[in-house]
Amino acid sequence: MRKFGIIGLLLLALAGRSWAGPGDARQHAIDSLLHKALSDMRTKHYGQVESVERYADVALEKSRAIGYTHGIALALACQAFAANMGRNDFPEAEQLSRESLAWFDQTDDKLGVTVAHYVLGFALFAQSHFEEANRHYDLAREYARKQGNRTEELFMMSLMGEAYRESGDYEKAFRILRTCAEMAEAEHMSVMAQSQYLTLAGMFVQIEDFPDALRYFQLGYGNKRPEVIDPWDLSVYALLLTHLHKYDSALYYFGKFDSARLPPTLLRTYLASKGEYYLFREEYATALPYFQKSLSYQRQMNDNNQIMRCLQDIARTYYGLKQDAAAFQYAREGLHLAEKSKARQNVRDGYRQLYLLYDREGKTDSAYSYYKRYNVLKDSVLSDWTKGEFASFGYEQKIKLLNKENELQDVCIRQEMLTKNLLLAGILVLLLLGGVYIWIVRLKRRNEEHRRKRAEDELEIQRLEGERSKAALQQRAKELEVQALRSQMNPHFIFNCLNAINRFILGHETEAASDYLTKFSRLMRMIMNHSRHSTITLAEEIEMLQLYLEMERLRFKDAFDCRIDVEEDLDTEEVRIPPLLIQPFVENAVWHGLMHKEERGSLLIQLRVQGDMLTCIVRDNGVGRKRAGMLRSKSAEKHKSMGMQITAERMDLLAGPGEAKPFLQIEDLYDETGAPAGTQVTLTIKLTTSTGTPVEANV
Amino acid sequence: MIKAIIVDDEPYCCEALSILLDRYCPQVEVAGVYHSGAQALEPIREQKPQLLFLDIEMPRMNGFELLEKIKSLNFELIFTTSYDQYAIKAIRFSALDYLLKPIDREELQLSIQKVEQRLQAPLPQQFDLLFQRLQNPSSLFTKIAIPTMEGLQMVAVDHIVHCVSDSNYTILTLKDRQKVVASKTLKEIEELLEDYHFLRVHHSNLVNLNEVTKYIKGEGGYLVMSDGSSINVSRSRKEGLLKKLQPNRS
Repeated sequence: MRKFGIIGLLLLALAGRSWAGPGDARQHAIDSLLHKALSDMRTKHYGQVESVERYADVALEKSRAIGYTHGIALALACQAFAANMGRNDFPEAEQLSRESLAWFDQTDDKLGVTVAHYVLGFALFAQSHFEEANRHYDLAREYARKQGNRTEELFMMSLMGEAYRESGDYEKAFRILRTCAEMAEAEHMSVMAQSQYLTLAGMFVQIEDFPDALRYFQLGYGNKRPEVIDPWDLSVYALLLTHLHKYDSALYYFGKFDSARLPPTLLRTYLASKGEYYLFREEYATALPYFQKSLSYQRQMNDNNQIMRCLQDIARTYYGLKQDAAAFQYAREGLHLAEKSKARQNVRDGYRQLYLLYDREGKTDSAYSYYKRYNVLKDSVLSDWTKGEFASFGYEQKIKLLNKENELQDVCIRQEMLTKNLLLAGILVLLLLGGVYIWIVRLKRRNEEHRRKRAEDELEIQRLEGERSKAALQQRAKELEVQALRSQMNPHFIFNCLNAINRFILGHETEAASDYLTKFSRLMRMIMNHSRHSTITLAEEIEMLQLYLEMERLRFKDAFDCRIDVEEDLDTEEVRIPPLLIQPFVENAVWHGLMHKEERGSLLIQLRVQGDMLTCIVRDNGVGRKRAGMLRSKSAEKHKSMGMQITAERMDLLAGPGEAKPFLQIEDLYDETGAPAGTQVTLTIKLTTSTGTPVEANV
Repeated sequence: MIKAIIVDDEPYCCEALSILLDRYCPQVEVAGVYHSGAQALEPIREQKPQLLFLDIEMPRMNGFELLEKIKSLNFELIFTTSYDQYAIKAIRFSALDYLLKPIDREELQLSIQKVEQRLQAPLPQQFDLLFQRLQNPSSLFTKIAIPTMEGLQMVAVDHIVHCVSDSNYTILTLKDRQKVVASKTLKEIEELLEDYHFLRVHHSNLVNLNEVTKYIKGEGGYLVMSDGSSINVSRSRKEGLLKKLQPNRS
């Protein structure tokens, strides 16, 4: 809650509007009152908001008298601001600003509505209602953006980041603060950018990522010395130094505070941080008065988030002092507040404290119960931390890449410059030194090339690492692979169909050619359509198989019979399976079983459902695997075995990790005399009931 | 009249080819159509056709297996195939003729013209090359059949020092200083030799990297080959060449 005190500094560059709005002279009078209130908001700070409140009161009264809706709305917003900043009465501020928004709803003049949203957001934030707070901040941001007011827009973003941070959503906090800082840099608003870096630094202290915290502090301070920056940040910085075991430096910075002259807004955080310094060093007796003083200020300011922090610090201090009764009292109050505001990291710390206390008292049951709860939360908070860290990591990676790329460009440019200079110098030097110089230059150039090459390699390595660190990419890769595999359509089959069509055309059998061609197109279209979906209905797969078989039969002039046998009460429209899973096995049966057979062959496809598994049997009475293997021509073998292998791999891929893998079994069949009588393939596929989610396909 | 036999497992392909021959190549007479190697074996031995259209991919006995059994007979041969990169490579390597299905009318007429001009069987060495290449595609001692103005010349791949393009012809220089004028473009020769240790170093030069003795620096520089000849390197291909010559250069 760093922004608590410095709101007025940044906010509300509202004055841009000429206040000659529509309406009569009385409205103008009210407008000018409100204008004064708003400009006071901008210039006065640290709680000196009496004038704002006075202007607002008068404006409100006059507006009500003449029924001036926009005046009422804006005056209420100003009052809410005063309630927030002047009295720290957040419930009242909340109520006033909600009222203000209700009035704003009734008028088309939205000027100043950002103030209402912002004040409401802040009041909610101070009461730890983070989600709703962010909703209003976001609305305020949106209005500011529409009005082209960059300062306000960025300010709202920074507040949102802070709310995310306070609610424990570090990843989002990181993202938004980072974006905000970048936008600020782009606009050359260095104060704004630095303020974001400092907030980020505070966040990294909170999630105990001290190296990152230090880095962001350095970014935030720029070339300035830490002590000239906002006292709030300075106290967080001192705390960071404490955690880094730089006690002397920490004390030095704590010493920079003149506690007598600090306003309560800042005094409270200085006190809390210094208390935490002593707590960290296990000097409990010294720490305690700091916390207690801080707590009383926090309570005055009604700052829920900081109250929780102090209560928990005090509980820990009493625990350290072995005064368990007092520790219990503070721990419980802290936990209660934390649970109410759903601030998870605080809830977690509360559980931990209570578990420690119960444990020391020997009440193992209670201790265990809190320990369990602590453990559950610990993991979830930890995962948020790692997310935050991850976000930072990924970001840094990107920055590094960009830097490398710039470096590369620099090298290239330098190289170009060098060459140019050489041309000029060369003419002169040729007269003097001739060859010697050229030799040196060559050497230099080679060096540059080496350097560039190294930079290139590093860039490549870093890029690879960056990729590796992203699990999301792996997921995508899996999808891609599945797509790629599906596009495997036997080219032999395609050419065979084209050959047959060509024959009909040559023979002037236009009807037959057209029939064949349309069937072929239908099959192609089906395959293309199916490969765009992760699942299709069984009916669609059957239709495709029938068409495929029909074409194969046509091609060989009905050299075999085939039958697709579907279990009677199986609803093929309802059942969904991954597409093109059965076809390769059918193709295999036709090409390797039946084609080699002298007599008329037959093919049977049986489909049965048991539970959520589909069993598909493809049986042929062909020559059997053994003979097919002998008869198979070497070149054809390549593609065919590839088709089966790809399908087997696909089946593995389709099942996620831990899921039951589809089952594939190939049996050789024999007749009564023991002679080979064909092959039977049994596929067991897990059914999906949900509708197929289309995957992006490049068809 | 040229007596021909068609062997293809796909009835439609046989019919299409018959129709094309009937219409556009009246000098060819189709004496028989068979749908597998096994089926065709006896009739070929009995009828002794002058020309054989042979599909490669067939059930029971494929085109190559059939060929192995009848290669001692005297006949012209045209392979027909739809899609089989591996086989096509081997066929080209042995300078045998082939047609891609669906068959193009003009290509067919061109092939038949060639048959008419020679009307003599492919050389036994061509079959040897074919089977050798099919069995062991990457052998270094492989020979390649190079079509020349006079006919064919069998050349061991590792005997070729370099090839220089001369419009539609290519001049091959062998280790024994012999020169072979191939009636193929340098691009075609390059494609045939791409699996071996050959590299195009210039628009009109292809070299055997094993025969390079020196590289002389320059804008593109040039190569000195084992036979003492020097071969220009173009600037754009210099980098690729250096990489090949010094694979471990960092």
